[in-house]
Amino acid sequence: METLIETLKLQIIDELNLDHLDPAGIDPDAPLFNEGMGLDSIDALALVMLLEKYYGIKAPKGESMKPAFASLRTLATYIQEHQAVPAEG
Amino acid sequence: MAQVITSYCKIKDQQVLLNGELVLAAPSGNADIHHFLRYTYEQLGCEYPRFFKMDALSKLCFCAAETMIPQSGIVNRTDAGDIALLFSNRQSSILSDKAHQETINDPWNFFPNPAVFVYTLPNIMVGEMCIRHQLTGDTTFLLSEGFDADMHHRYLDCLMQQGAAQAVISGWVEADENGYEAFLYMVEDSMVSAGLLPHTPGSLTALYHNSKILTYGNVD
Repeated sequence: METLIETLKLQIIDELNLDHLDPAGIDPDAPLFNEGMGLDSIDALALVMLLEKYYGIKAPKGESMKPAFASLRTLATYIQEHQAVPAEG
Repeated sequence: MAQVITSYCKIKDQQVLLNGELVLAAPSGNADIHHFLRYTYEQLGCEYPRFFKMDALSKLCFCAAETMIPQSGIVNRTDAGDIALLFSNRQSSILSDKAHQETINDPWNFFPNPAVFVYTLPNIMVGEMCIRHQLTGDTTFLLSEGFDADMHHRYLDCLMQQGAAQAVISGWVEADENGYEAFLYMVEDSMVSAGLLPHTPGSLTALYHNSKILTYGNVD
């Protein structure tokens, strides 16, 4: 989980043009939007694209991503729960 | 109504000039536009995290506006809704256009990034300036081969003569892989603010092409 959170920090900084942020200074439990990392609605779209691009996860139609986008930790949890498991054999 | 140019700012070749005076010059070496604009942002002492999300064109305009607008005091003497913005350049938002194209070239790696494609219009640059300085007047962005002083003068004169604006912040902001250039100026009624120069095509041409301080008397 912690490794995934650290990876997510770098991917979010890169994809959302937040290179003024120091990954070490980002609290994984702080809100992603408004306070905390200060993301906005455009960033929400970018996060949806990030999930698909790096983790193969498509945001389900009609389902709010708000709980998953609460913090870095909830996002990492969402990824772990929804990432496709490679078929065996 | 006599229109006067009350302030102007130029950014080019890693230098920022305000009313002909050097405000800052980046250390020689890294000529990358993003590196220079971040350096300029930091030197100007800005606290505006939204800056980092902007594309190069918007950052360039932001730095010029940040240098010129606060010190001019224009927002203290003119209502925000009466300050129009008139801008132009040659290649629109070409850097963001290309960056966006790269994200959608490959149908098997098709990931358009909203953080990039929201900047694929040059008038977003003007919008960012409006947000930063709380300006709510008319905004216009035009394309032309080069800075067209006659066109700028005519359009701006129309805005003020017809009462669409009491003041105008105008300029030419261009950025591509080969370089960058920002020339911002503001025009106001001479009854409201003392001017550096009369608002004429000759003044605009002279300011655009020269770095030295120009005042009444040495411009047509």
